[in-house]
Amino acid sequence: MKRVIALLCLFGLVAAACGGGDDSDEPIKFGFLNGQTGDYGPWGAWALWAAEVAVEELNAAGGVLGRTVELVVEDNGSTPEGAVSGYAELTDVDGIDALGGIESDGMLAVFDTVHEQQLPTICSTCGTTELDTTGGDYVFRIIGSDTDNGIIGAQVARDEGYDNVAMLVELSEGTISPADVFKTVFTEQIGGTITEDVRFDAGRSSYSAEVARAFDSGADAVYISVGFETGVPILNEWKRRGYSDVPLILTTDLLSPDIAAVVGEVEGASAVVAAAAYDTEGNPAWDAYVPRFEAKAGDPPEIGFYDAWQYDQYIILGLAMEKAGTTDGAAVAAAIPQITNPPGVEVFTYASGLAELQAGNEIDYHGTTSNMNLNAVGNLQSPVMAVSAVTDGSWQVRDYVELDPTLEKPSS
Amino acid sequence: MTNPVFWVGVLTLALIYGSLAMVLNVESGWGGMWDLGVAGLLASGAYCYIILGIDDPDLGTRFVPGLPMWLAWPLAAAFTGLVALAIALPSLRLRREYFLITTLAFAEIIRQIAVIQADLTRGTTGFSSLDRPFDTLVEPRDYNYVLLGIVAFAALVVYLITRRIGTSAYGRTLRAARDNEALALALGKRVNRMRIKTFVVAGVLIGAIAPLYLFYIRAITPQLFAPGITFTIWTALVIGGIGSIRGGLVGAVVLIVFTEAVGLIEVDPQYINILVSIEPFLVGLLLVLVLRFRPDGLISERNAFGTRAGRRARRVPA
Repeated sequence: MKRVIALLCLFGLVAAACGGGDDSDEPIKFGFLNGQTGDYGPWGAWALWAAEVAVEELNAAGGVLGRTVELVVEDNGSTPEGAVSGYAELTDVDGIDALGGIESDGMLAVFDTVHEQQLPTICSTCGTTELDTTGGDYVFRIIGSDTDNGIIGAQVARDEGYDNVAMLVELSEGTISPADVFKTVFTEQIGGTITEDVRFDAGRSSYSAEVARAFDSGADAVYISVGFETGVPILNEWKRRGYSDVPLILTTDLLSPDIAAVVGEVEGASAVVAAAAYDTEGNPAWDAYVPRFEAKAGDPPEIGFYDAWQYDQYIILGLAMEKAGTTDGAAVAAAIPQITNPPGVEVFTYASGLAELQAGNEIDYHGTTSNMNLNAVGNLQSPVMAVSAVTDGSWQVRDYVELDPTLEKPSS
Repeated sequence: MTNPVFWVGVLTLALIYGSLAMVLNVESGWGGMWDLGVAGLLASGAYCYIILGIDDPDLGTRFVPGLPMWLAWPLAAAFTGLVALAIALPSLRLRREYFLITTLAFAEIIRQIAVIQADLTRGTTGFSSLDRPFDTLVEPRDYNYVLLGIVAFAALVVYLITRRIGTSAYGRTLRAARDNEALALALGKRVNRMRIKTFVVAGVLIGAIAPLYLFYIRAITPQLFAPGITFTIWTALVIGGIGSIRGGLVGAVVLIVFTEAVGLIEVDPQYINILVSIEPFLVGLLLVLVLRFRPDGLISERNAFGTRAGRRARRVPA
């Protein structure tokens, strides 16, 4: 046993010696703390490709503050515990200068530590409603919250003329949160009726009973808020049972080609996803990003994989660091809203933003997913929302929509 | 060289898992109760501790008890003991794999209650920004050392308690009933009552350890108590040696340090997917190697009770 422990200690020391320092001559390090394995694993590769595209763009433009940028990747296993240990590794071992890539539950676990260590952090895919009223000092969110996703779902149900809606909701953080907002807004502010609210745990071999309860409840439409892996068997069950006459309102996780293929096979079926979307219409940032991502990934960007938000966050961090003229966390964090919000010259790429900053101009970065304007608590002021529908077996954006200001966030 | 603060954090987590593994050893290693519900008991203690300490009405919970940390902590331990009793009464009629499945099911029920009872637990949002003991006395950066001290002290207390149990006549009877229940019953031992008592004691200890885990994570959501945490504790116990007094502690330190050390291997980002795939493989390989060359774990039960403590245990009349 002593030999085993000695070997482990030796291994630990060797590994420890491999850790990096924080010398200013070394590359600027951007941390990427993300669920490459675990529940978020299916999105991991896309997230990483997008982050790499961003860092390559930064370095191609001469780097940040004249230094090359290194992406330091850490898998958090899609768990809060993994986020805590991954964060410690990124900060204590690698000495990162800024952080991105983290998801909701991991973000909440490291939120206080981020503030204590004054580490500029962008939460590119955090939907958690907990960030609706916090953040803005060191934590910024560049995607719509679950509150927005719930409201837009209710808004679409109203606009489609549905009075009675049934709900199928998986019991997980990312699915309950928008569903609860949807239910409250739809019933209390719009005056609709929930005919059946079916909630269940993921990982079952069959969802037959749950599907039957929802679709046999006499609803005009069924709102389905589940993860991708749960969505496939549910929609197969929906197809097998012949419920195609009941329209579907789906959430972002189901905005994938596989789901579109299932829906597309059913004649007369109607399915829409109302959710945060990429800003694709006449947006130079998007036009520049798409071919680079495609060259890296071999596939075009996919809304359901959240890749473009992962890209935007590092462009913002690079520009903010240039604006601050230092890697100091407090200065960089303070510069983030300065480069994302007006006034300033509107820029769409890192290179153009860098040129304007070097010319002494203020800039207003417009990313691939929105205009990136942030409010006082570091949230997007106006996330781009779209209604997508299945056409010819694939998801197509039907309408870009704005949140109805008369529909308010429910009080907790 | 790596910042020592990183290894302080690693050691803190290892000692928390080690404490849990030592408790698991009491019920499973000595009591023969194959418990896959540790995560459920941990969740019970953690949520009880958090809920009793809520002092902000804006959090939207039904109750705002606002109890001080030092009162909420023992109450959380006591509550977890009651939960353990509620689980033990029906479950301990079962044995081995049936007991195992039942405890796993109870753990999942507890986790789902945490999801559904949002007016108590804040559902999947949970709680963050938790107060920690002595956090105003030191700079935030130095708090890791304070937490390590607290956790090390707790691990020592758990070790002393479990050693006391293991070397007592009670512990010897527990192991005897595990090895030959019919004989223990024939000798007049009230085996089932004894197991229930052991399960409850384990519940109290797990409930007492739960706040330490929260101090490390600094947030609580139901996802934190997925079955993976139970399997990690079991892996630590198997590596360290099921049945040995300090095997769980040693196993947890070896497992957590090894896992984090593997994570320190630097690779080009394009190979990160390969590395993260290899990490669990390496941990599995460690487990296989331990089982191959030390089938009873790094410290076997026989060796553990061959120590002075073990000899003292043998001198104690039954």
